[in-house]
Amino acid sequence: MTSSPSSPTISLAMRRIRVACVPAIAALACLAADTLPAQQPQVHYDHAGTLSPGAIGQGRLRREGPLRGYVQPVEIKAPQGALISLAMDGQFDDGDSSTRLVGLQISPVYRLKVTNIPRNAGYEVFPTIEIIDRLYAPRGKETRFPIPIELTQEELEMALAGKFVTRVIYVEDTDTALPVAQDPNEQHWLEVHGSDDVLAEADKLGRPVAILRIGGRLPDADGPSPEFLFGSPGWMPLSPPAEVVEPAAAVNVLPRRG
Amino acid sequence: MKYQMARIAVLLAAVSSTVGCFKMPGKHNLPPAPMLMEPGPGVGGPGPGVIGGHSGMMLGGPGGGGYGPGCYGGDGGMGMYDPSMMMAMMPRSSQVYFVGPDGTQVNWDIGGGAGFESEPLVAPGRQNFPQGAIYRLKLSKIPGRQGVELYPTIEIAPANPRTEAFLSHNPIPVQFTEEDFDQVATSNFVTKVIYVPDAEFQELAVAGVQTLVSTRLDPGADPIAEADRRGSILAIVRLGNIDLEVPSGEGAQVMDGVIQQAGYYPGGGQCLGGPTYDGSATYAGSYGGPMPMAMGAPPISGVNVPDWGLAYSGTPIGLPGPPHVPLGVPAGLTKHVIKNNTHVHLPKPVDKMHITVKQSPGMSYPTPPSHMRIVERSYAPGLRLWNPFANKLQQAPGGSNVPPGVPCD
Repeated sequence: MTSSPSSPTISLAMRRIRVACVPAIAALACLAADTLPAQQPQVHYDHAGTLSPGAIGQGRLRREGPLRGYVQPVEIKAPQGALISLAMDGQFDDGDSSTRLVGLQISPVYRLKVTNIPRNAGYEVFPTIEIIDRLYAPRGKETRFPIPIELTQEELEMALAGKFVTRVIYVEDTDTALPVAQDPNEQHWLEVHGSDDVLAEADKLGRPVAILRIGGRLPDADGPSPEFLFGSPGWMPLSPPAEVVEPAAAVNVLPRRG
Repeated sequence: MKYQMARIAVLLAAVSSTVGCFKMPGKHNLPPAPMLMEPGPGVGGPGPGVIGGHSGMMLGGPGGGGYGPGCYGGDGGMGMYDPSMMMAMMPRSSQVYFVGPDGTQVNWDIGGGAGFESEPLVAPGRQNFPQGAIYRLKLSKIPGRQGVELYPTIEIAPANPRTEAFLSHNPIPVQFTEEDFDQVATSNFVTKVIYVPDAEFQELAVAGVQTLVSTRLDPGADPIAEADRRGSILAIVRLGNIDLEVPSGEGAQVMDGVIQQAGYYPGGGQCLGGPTYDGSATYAGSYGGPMPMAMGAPPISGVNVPDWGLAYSGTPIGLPGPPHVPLGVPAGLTKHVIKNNTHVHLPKPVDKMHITVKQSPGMSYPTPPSHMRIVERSYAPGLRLWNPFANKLQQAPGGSNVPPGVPCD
């Protein structure tokens, strides 16, 4: 039996190569597996924007924070000429303007009544507002920085057509907000795809603070039921903040001393 | 050596198969289905678990602070008012919007008997119906179909987290089309399923309902199963050409004061589209009307639930038999032998249970941060930027009229 003198050497080298390949393959496998988490979303939501009204606010209250009992000023705007009413003690109050400044608590669901809608006289829409977080305005200036909730003409007409519209109002993330001056009387909005969660999309762009839901359901003919009004949670009427006086005018009206 | 290992393997296989045959019966028989449904030991009854409480009543969560307009409290501990708790106690209803045909008159039973005495609702019109029940309607004065009266049923599905927001803001549109009436006129049965499509079946975030009609599906396709696959079912309308007001016909149920339901499923929607049973005459009698489970009425044996706990068999083996023999004379029997030849194989309960679970896809959360490094840098700009002069003098009225810099009196 003869053997090549070089055979044991080659065999040993091959074995060493194989042994060295094992950790290399393992490292490659680890690297390949390590790329998987990067493809997953960085935020995992345990709720969805389609949850029952009040559920998201309740979940927010269960977390810590100065939220319970806080009355958040909210400015509700409707198209010019429309009237906004809020439910109180089982019935709607007399809506007398298209802009209401009220204090709402976090988590309860507040039912509104919008009447005298332009181009839709005689029709009524009953949206709801759910406050899910608060703003941290300077002390004493809370009413100057309310949450703006706008009921647009387009959305009201969609509700009259039987559609269900969910609008999430969020505070912009300062890192991603557009550095462009905005008209305070006009609210920018984004429309998301149906397969996307509107609440999650708003969370990506900032901090959601309120949810507005608009539909075409009407109360009973003999008056709104407690179920329809979500128990008529209490709210607080607020006075609009005093107008800021321009500096030049202030200086002019002051009497000169001397 | 190889042959020896093969022999041992064959021997082990033979032993294991033989032992298995001795230990396991060749065929398993389960108790009857009604007995399996009962938690009690062979008889109907709540069993040791008793009927569960009404967890729905406790959905309120932490109580909110008592407050009202002009008087609101601080941190909730008083629990004076909790709308969510109040909401949990309310009966849920869905609003049905009868879209058309225009002028069609819709009635439903409110007073019992064989009539449909409700206030006539002329389409388009709306009516609220409690959820989790089936209601019998009457369609009359259908435009273009003089004298035709139809008696469809509408099954209102209980709200679920997917549909609750929609149902609290939108009605369920129900439209009877000319095609539906034509199908019914030819003795066909029409099933219409109204549902909210899931997100993947929607084009925009604006939610709108869709309707599946059995006559537009392939033969054999179940519209309820298809709608359930596509989204969440809101209501099911079943339409045929039965006449419920013939003199000897089967009328509506006998109650008074409220809308009468034609069917009832106490589970609250789990059997949606499946078999339901006509329980209004038996169950709702003492309450005077349908009672959706959302009301949370306590179960009372023999009143709103069947008589529990009464053994209905006189023999100890679960089969019907006489309690004593002979019947009709004073008891004189002193010995009663029943021989049970039933093959019984009831294995002992296991003392240790292993459950292996796996969720696919698994969960992978980002690693939480364990170290934070904050570097704050301040750059002194070469150009000195002052606050605009106008901003310095900005002030609100109501306070002092003295501008900054002017000494007060």
